[in-house]
Amino acid sequence: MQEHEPPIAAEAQRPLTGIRVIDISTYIAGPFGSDILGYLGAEVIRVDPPPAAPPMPLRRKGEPVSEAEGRIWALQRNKRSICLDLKKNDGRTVFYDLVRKTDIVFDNLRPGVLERLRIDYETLRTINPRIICCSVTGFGSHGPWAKVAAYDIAVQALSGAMAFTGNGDGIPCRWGVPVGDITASLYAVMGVFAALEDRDRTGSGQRLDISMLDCQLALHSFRVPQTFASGIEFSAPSPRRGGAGAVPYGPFACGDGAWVVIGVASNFWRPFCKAIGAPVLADDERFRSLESRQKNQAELDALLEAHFLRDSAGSWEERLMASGVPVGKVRTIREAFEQPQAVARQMSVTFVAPGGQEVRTAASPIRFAGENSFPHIPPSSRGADTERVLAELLRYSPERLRDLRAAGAIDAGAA
Amino acid sequence: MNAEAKAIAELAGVRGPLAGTLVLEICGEEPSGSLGTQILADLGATVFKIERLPEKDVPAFDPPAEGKPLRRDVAFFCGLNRNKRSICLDLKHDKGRAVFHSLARVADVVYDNYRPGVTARLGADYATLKALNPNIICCSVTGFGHTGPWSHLPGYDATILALGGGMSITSSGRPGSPPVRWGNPIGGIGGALYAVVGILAALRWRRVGRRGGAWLDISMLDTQLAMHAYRVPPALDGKVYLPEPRRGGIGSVPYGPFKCGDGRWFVVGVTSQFWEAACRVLGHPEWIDDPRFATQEQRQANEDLVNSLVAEAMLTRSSDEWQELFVGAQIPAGKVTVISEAFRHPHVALRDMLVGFKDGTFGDRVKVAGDPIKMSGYPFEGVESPPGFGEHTAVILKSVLNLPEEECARLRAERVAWWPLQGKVYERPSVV
Repeated sequence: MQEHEPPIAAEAQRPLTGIRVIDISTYIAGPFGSDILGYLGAEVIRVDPPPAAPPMPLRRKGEPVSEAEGRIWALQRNKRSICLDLKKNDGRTVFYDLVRKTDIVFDNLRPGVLERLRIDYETLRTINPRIICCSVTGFGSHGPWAKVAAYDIAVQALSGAMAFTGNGDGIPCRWGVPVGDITASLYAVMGVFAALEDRDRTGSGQRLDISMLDCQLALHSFRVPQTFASGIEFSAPSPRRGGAGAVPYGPFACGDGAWVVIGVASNFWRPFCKAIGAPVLADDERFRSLESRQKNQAELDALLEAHFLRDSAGSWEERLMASGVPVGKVRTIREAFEQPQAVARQMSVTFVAPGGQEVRTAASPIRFAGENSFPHIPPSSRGADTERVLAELLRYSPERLRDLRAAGAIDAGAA
Repeated sequence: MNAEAKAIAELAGVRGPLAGTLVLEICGEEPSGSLGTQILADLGATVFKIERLPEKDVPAFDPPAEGKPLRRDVAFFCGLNRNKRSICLDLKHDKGRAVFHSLARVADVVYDNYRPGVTARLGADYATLKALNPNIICCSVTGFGHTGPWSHLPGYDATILALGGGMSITSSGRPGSPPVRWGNPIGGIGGALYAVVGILAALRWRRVGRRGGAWLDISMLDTQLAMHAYRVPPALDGKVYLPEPRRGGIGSVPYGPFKCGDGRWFVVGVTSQFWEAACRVLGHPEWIDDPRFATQEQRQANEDLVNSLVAEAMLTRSSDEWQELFVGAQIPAGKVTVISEAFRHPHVALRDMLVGFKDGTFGDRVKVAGDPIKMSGYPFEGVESPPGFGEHTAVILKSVLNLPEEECARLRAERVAWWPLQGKVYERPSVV
C-alpha cells in the first residue's frame, strides 16, 4: 500500500474545506446529504439539466413560503448551481472536465441511469482515479429490484417498521418525517467521509452503493437478533409502553385538547406521582412496581387519562419538567423550533430572500462545543452559477461558453 | 508503527477505512450510544466498550441449545455491539480512572451518552481529557445538549419525539386518534447517526486542518428538528403540518396504506408521474382522464373520493399480487411487512443485510443487520460477535498499556478492573 501525504490545507476552516462535490441528486434522499457536506465545508456544485430558472423571485411581505420554496431554501442551500445537459456530448465533456477537478460525485439516480449517461464510476475513474462516487438508490445497484423506484413510504413499509408503528387501532403508520430518505442521506455522508479517509491512505477513490432499504433494515439493530434468535415478532405497536417496558408511557390527551407524552421508567415513578398531584398513587399496591404497573396497565392508563384532562398540556409539562421527569408536549414543527431549548441552541438559520423578507430553515445539529457554527450559504437559483463555475474552475473562455450555450449544452439563464 | 499503535489496530473487529482509530465508548446501552460506536467499529475503528464492574462474579454464558430462543437482553446486546472489545473498569476508583486516562492518551475518540455532568464526575469530560491528550475528540450525545435551559433534563425517545415536532405529523388519521411515535427509537438513532457524521468530520478536520481535538455536543432534540428540513421554511412562516397518512410529503395522492384482499396492508406512493400507470395496475384505466382525478390538484381536491375508490380496488387482490403488479409497473409501493418478512426481501441476502457472526459464541445462529455503508474497496468479510463482559480487559491492559501480568492481577484483585476467569459472560448489570 502506497503512503500518500494528506493534501495540504493548513488552516482548513471547516472539516471539508478544499473538497469539491458534484451533486446530481434530487428529491430528498440526496440533497439532504449534500447539504450536510456543503455545511461542513465542501464546495458543492449542483448539476441540473437545462433550462435554468429565473433568479430567485422577490418575496413579498405576507406572502407565505410555499412548499416548493421550502424545498429550495432547505435542501439547496450551501450549494452552487449549474445547468448542464448530460445527454449531449458537449455537456458530457464539460462534466468530465469537472470530474477531473472533483473529489466526490453524489447522486440518487436510478441504477442504470449513470451508465446510460456514461458518468458511472467505472467510466469516471478512468478520468480521475481519485474520484469517489456515492449513489443513493431505493434498493442498491444490483439484484432483481435494483431498477425499482422507491419512495420513503415504500421503504418504511418494506423494512418492517410500519408494522409496529401506530395508535394500536390496526392501521399501520409511517413516521411523518421521511426517515427512509433522511437516514440514507446520513449513511451516505458517513460513507463519503470514510472513502476520503481511505483515499488519503491508498491514493484511490471508490464507489459507495447506499440503498434506502438497507438503511432502514440497519436501523432495526437490536430488533433483528430479537426477531431471529429470540423469536419475537414486532408486529403490534405499543403506543403506551416504552421500549424497555416502561409504564406509564406515551401520549395522554389534556384539558386543552393538546397531548402530552410521558416516559416514566421505574426511577421516575415516585417523582411523577408527586408532580402530577397524585402522591397516593406511588404506593398504591396496583402500581407500586413496574410488574404491577404492567399487569394493571389498563387501570392505570384510564386513571391517568382522566387525570390529565384536568389541566392543560403546557401546565403538565411545566410541572413534570420542574421535577425532572421525562415529558414533552406534542409540538407542531413551528412550536418545536420556538421552544426555549431550541431557541437557546439556535436551531434555526435565517436567510434574507430577494426583496428583504426573511426565510427560516433548520440549523445543523453538528455542534463543536465552544466553537461558532459555520455560516450557511443561501441557495442559488437553478443554473445561476453556470458561467462562473466553468470560467473560474475550468478556465473556459467566453467564446467556449458562448458555443456551449449555443449548442444547448449549458444554460446560465438570463444574463 | 509503534507497538501500542499496532496493538490498537490489531484489536479492530474488521478491516476498514478507520483502521487504527481508537474509540472509547462510555455509554449506557441505548442506541444513542452503542449504535453510533457500532457504526464506527463496522468502518474498521477499534472500539473499547468501557463497562462497569459486576457486583459479584457472574456465571459464564450458557448458549441456548440449537433451536431454543436466545435471551432477549443478550439478543439486544448482539444487535448493537458487534466488532467491539469490552474492558471492565471502575472509573470511580482512582486507579481505574488512571487506567482510563492512560487509554485516553492513546485514543482518538471518547463517545458518551450520559446526562451533562456525569462524565465530569468520572474524570472523562473533554476539559480533563484535553489536558491529557490535546488531540482527543469527545462526542457527547444527550437528550437536549450541554447548553440551554433544559440541558439537565432527562429525555426519553417518546418525549424527544413529542418535543421535536415529529409526532404532530404522525398518526393513523382517524378522528381523535392520538399522535404516534415511530416504532424505532429515532430520537436516539438520530443522535447516533449525527454523532458519527460529526466524529468523522472532526477526525478529518484534525488531520487535514492540522488542528487539535474537539468536543461534539449532539442533542437528540436538535437532530429531530434538523430532520424536518424542507418543511421548516413553510412551518416557521405559519403553515401548520398535520398528519397526512394518505398524502405524500410533496402532496401526492394516493399515498399511504390500503388494505388488500388477504387482510394485509399495502402502501402506494403515487406521485403525478405514476398516476396513469397506477390507474392501469389498479384495473381502472378510465380514471386516467376522469376530470376529478386527472391532475394532482384535482386528486387533492377529491382526496377522500380517490382514497375510497383506491381502497375498494385494493381489496380485489392480495398484497403479494399487488406487490408483483406494482413492481412490474415500476411504481413505488410496498407491502407492510414484519421484520422477519422484511429480511426475506430478494435483496437482503445479495447485499449481506442479514448476517451471522463469523466466530465463536453466537456464530451463524444469531443474525444481525448488515452494514448499509457498502464500499467497493471493502467487500464484506463478516462480523465478529459482540464482546463478552470484560472479555478484553486483560489483553487491553497488557498489549495497549503494556502493564505487566502482576499489575493486571493486582488491578483485578483490588476491583479496579475485572474479567471473567473462565468462559464468556453476557450477564451485564446495565443491559435493558
